[in-house]
Amino acid sequence: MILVALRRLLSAIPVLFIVSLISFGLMRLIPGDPAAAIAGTSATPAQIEQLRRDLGLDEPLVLQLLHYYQGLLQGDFGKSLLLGKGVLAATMERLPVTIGLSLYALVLTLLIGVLSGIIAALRQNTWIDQFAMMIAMLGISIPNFFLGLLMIVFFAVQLGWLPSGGYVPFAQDPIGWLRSTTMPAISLALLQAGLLARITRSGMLEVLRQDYVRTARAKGLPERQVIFKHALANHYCYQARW
Amino acid sequence: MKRLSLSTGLVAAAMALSAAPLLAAPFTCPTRGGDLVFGQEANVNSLDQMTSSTISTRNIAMNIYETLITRDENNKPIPELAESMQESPDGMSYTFKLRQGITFHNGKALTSADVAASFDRYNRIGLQRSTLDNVAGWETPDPQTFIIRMKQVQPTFVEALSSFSVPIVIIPSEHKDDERQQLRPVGTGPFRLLEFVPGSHAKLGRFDGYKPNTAYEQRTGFGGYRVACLDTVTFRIVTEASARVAGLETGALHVVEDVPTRSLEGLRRNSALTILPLQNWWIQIALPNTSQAPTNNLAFRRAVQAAMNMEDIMDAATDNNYRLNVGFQYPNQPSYTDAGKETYNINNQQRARALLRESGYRNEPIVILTNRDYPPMYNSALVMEQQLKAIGINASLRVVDWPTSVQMSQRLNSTEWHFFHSGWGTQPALGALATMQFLVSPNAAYRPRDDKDDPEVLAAWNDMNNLRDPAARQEAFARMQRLVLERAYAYPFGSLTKVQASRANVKGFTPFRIPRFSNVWIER
Repeated sequence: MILVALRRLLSAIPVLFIVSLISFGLMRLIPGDPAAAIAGTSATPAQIEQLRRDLGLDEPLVLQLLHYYQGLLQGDFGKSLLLGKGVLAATMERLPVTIGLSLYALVLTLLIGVLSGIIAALRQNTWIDQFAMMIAMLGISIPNFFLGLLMIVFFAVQLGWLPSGGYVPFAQDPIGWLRSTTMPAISLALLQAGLLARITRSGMLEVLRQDYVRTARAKGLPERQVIFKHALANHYCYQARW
Repeated sequence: MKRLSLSTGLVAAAMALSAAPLLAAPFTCPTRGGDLVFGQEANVNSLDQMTSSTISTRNIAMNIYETLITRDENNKPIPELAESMQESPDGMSYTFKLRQGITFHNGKALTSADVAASFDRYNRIGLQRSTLDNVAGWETPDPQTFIIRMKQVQPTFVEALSSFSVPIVIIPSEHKDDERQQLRPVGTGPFRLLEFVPGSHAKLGRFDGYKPNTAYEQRTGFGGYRVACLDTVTFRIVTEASARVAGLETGALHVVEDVPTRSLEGLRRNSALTILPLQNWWIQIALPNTSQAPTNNLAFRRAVQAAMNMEDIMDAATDNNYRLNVGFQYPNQPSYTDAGKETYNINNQQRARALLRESGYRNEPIVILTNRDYPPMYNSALVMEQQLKAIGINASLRVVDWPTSVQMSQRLNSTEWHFFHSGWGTQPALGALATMQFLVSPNAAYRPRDDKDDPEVLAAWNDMNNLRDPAARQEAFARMQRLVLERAYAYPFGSLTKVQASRANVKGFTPFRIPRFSNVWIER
C-alpha cells in the first residue's frame, strides 16, 4: 500500500515537470507582449523595451526557464507580472475570499438544485414542474457575467437591497459579508444548480417508481420520510458519483 | 547665475510668486472629513511610480508622492518640492532650492540627500531613466540645495524633468535600494498609503503633516496649493463599466473614471450625479507601415488620407464624444499648431481615387491591425476599412489583443500589417517633444524600412531638441508636424473626450490627467 502510494508520488514528478514545461512554453510562444500589457497604452516603445529588459523578458527562453525552475526548487513560485507580487503571496491573499465565495455558491447550488429537482419530480407534469425546469434552463443558458450585471441593476440600483460591488471580510462583519457575496454566489451557483436540478428530477423520478418506495408508502410512513430517507438517500449514491 | 528664462517663464513667475505676498486667500476646506470611494477602470499592480508608466499607477501614486518640479493646469513646468530653480548661463547646471519644513509620511524631514537618493534610484531602475542620459551627476552642497550637472546643454531638460509620464518622485534616502515594484510607499504628498491590495483596492489617508505650497493659492495641475479635506480616499478597481455606473448610482462609488457613452443619457437625468467630461484625453490615430508596399508609396498613403472622413471615424470611435483636432497637440496647449491642416479631414473620394491610380495600386490586400481591448481603436478601424473599400482599396481588419498588436507593430520590416490603430494619451498631454518621439527611431511609429528615419523629419526633431530659443523649437515642431502630415506618416483622427462622473455632493473634483483628491470635499 505504501509502495503504491510512493510509486504514485514519484510518478507525479515527471508529470509536473512536463506540465510546467508545456505551460511555460505555451505562455512564451503565444503572441502578445506582457511588457506592453503592463506598460499600457501610454507607454512609448522605449519604455516598453526598457520594461521588457527590466523584467528579464528579453533573455533567451532557456535562461528564463532555468530561472523559473531555480525559483521553484527554492519554493519561489515566481512573481505575477500583473499583480507585481509573488504568486504564492497573491494566491494566499485571495484564498480566503475564494474559499468563502465557493462555499457559499456550493451551498446555494445544493439548496436550489436539489430542492427544485425534488419538487419538480414530486409535481411531475404540473406547472410547478415546468416552472422549475424553466428556471433550471435559464440558469444553464444565461452567461453568469450577464446574470451578474442584471442582478446589480435590479437588486442594487433599482431596489437598493444589496451592494453593487465591494467585499466585506466575514471576520469584520458577517452580515456585510453575506450581503456582499450573495449576488456573486448566485451568479456562480445558478449554472450548476440548473444542471443539478435536472439530474435530481430525472433521478428522483426513477427512484420514486421503485418497489421499496411503494412499500414505504404502503407501510404508512410520512411522505417526508419516504422522500428524504428512502428516495433521496438512494438517489444520493447516484448523485455523489455524478 | 541667470534666472531661468525658457519656455518655463512661468517657472520664474511662480518663483516670484513665492517671494511676493499673496493677493488672495489660499484654499481652505469648506468641510473636512469623510471617505471618498473612487471607481478606477484599470488594475494597478504596483505603486512604484519610478518604474511604472501606467495611468492606473499614476492615478494613485501622484496623490502620495511629489517631485522637484511638475506641471500646472496648462502643462507648464512649475516648482513643487523645489522653491526655486536656476539654470546656469551656460546651461550646464540646474540649482534647486528646496522648500522648507517638508516632511515625509514617516515624519522624516526632507533634505537634499533624499532628493539625491531618489535620483540615484531612478537612474538605477527608473523606467524612463533615459531622461538622465545627459546628466553628468548631482550634488548636495547643503541640506536645502540640489544641483544637477549636465554632460552637454539640453534646452529641453526642464520639460523632461517635469514630465509626469514616469516622474522622479522624491522618496526617503533609506528607500533608495528598494527593488523594482518593491518601493515602500512613503512620499511627501497630501495623502499617505494606508492599505494596498493589487487587483482590488488602495486606501489613502490624509497626511496631517503635509505642508501646502504657499507660492500658490489653489491647486493647479499636479501641484499648487493642495489640501487634503477628506479623511480617506479608497481607489476601488472596477473594471466593468456597467458596474462602475451601478456603483455611482447606488452611492457605493462617489467618483468614477470613464463612464460609457451609452449610460450618459440616463445619468444626466439623475440629479444626484454630476457628469464631468474631460476633453482631449487622447488622440485617436492610425500609423502606416512604410517598410512595405504599398504603404511605402507616398501617393498611396495620400490616397488613404484623402479618403478618410474624420467625423465619421471619430463618431464611431467615441459615440460622439470627440473633437476634431489637427495635428498632435491640443488648442489649449501653448505648443499647438495647425501646420499641415490642409491634409486633415479631406474626405474627397475623387481625389483619393486619383491618388490611388497615381500610386499604381493593384488591389493588393491591405491589413488594418487593431484590437478589441480598446473599443475606440476597433471602431475607428472598422470605419476606416469601409472608407478605404469605398475608393477601391482591398482592406480588411486583423483583430488581435492590444499587447499582441503592439508587439506586431514594433517588428522591424514587418509584412503582417499596413495600418496600425492606436491612441496617444499621455504624450500629447506632456507636450510636443514627448509626442513627436513616437515618430523618430528607435521604433518610429510609421516603421520606416530598417528603422531609417526620414532625414528631414529627423532634422526637425533634432532642432526641437537642440535649439536654445523656445520660439525656434516651436517652429521646428511645426515643421516636423507639417512633414509628418504631408508625407502621411500618421493619420491623427481627432481627440477623444473621456467622461467621468461624480455624486453631486462631491465638490472640488475637476477631471485631469489623474484623479486629484486634494482640495476635494464632500458636501454634507
